[in-house]
Amino acid sequence: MDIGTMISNFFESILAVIFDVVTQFLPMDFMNNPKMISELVQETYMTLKMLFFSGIFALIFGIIFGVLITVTKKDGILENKIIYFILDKFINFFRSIPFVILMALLVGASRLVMGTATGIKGTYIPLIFGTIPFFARQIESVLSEVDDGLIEASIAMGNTPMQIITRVYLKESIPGIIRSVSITLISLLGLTAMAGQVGGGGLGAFAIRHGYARGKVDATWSTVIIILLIVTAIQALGNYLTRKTTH
Amino acid sequence: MHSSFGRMFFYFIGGGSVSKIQLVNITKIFKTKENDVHAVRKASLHIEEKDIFGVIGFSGAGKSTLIRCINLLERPTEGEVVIDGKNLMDLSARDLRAERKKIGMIFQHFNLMRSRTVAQNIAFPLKGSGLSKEQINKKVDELLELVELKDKKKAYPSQLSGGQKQRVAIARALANDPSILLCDEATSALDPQTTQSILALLKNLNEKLKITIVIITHEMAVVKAICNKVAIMEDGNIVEEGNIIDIFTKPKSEVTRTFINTTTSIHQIYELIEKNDPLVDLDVDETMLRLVYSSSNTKEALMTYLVKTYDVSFNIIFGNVEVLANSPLGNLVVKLKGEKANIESAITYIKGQGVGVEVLK
Repeated sequence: MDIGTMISNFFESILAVIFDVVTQFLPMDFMNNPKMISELVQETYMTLKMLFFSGIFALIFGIIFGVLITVTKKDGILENKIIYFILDKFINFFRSIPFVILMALLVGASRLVMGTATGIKGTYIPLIFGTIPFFARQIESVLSEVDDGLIEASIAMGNTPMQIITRVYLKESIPGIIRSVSITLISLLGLTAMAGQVGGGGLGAFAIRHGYARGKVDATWSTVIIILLIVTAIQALGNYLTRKTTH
Repeated sequence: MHSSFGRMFFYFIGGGSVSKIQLVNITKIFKTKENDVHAVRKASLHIEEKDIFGVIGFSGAGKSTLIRCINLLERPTEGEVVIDGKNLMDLSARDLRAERKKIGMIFQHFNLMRSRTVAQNIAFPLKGSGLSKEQINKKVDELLELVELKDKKKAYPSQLSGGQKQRVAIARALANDPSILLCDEATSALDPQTTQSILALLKNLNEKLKITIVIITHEMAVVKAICNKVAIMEDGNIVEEGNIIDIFTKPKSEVTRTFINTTTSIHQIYELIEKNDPLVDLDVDETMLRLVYSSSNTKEALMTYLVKTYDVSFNIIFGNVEVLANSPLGNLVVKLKGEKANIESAITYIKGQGVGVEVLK
């Protein structure tokens, strides 16, 4: 027997042991059902849909609020005590409410805007409101790292406040913004799992319905693996883009 | 309306000198919770076209605040900032931005955009100027040539040395063809050699582009290297201002003398006197003098004349000659030996020749 075969045999035997242990604790019989597989695919799609649509709005408004709170701050380029005060309190208010309570709180707003407070449509408003404050604070901290000297140089060059925001604050913080986007999307993914509570579906609802209520451990593990894959994908993309844009 | 008419009037009776920048009674107060900080107190400056004007002071003297008042990065609490006859304090935000484009500024820490290449940094002020992409590219190339950095066009600031970064910052500041360049401690973060090369570049730009330069620094060597005029600041006040030769030959205030002493080794003589070093020991009939002379009075054979006329002998302890704003400035420490009366009349004669005399011992 040559050394290569020995090594591969060794790893094969180790894998066999691991597989034995896993199947003993985690019978895969439930998830072998094709019906369950298609349900899991459907719920994964729901999760991604919630992540995508509420993500887009949360990111847009988060950036707007993050920029506003930065420039209206004391000694900011558009210092404004009133706007700063309102934004600051607004962000703190929504940040301090647990998401499950936020969903109950925003039933009215959701009915007003989306026409319903249940199903996947009912999840968007709470998801957006739950994410904006988190992301806005991230953006605020990223923008605060922009060197004051750059802002000063830009003012000295005769730029308008809007130009300073787009050409200095945002442009110079692109790597930091990308990092905050991936952190925010990952935390939003966590919220989508809870949003299943109002009938939005998704992987969270699947894990509760089959894994928790019916004790099907392999159903739970399936969702864990999918969530892990989504998180890894977001993080890898974020890291790649950050590297690309850092000079 | 009224005040601008008044300025026109002054402009005409001012005669000859063209005033580029005029700061009139600038006061800047920073309000903090505990107390008000008077960074600048009623400072007035008059900077002419093509001047290289130095403002020197120790940290906290208010010089940085003062230079920031020129382009209203700091708005003075009181006073007027008049540039080319226009009071910037009266302008709308839009007009002020237009004026700022005519004033370039460079900084101690360069303030380059990290996410942009050298070329993009230099092109930064040109966006929205109406120039086409080709025109901007051409302008960037010209500027890079001017600051001798052609090969770094595509580099990022993180790949440059301090001196190279400041060259990029200078090119960026010149992108809009300003008539004024403000330098806020522009060489303070650089080593002495790089400082000299940046100063040489600034001097070159001043001659080539006829640009007026204002330099803030705490190093007298910088002032000495390129300025033709200098103002000395202390505690928010301008304590002394004038032609660099006059300031070096006849400093009036203590702080000015301190600054001058940092750039010559002449102050060592004072330390020697303090320590009663044998080198500066005097006989009974000896006096030690420090003579300061400039181009206007260096032609006469002063010492020879003294020896012949007043029957004194002299011994040179220390001497050096420097070139300031293209004219020489000499410092000489001598021991004069002779009768008391003769020495006194010799001193009177030296003073009469316009040479600065200080009796050291």
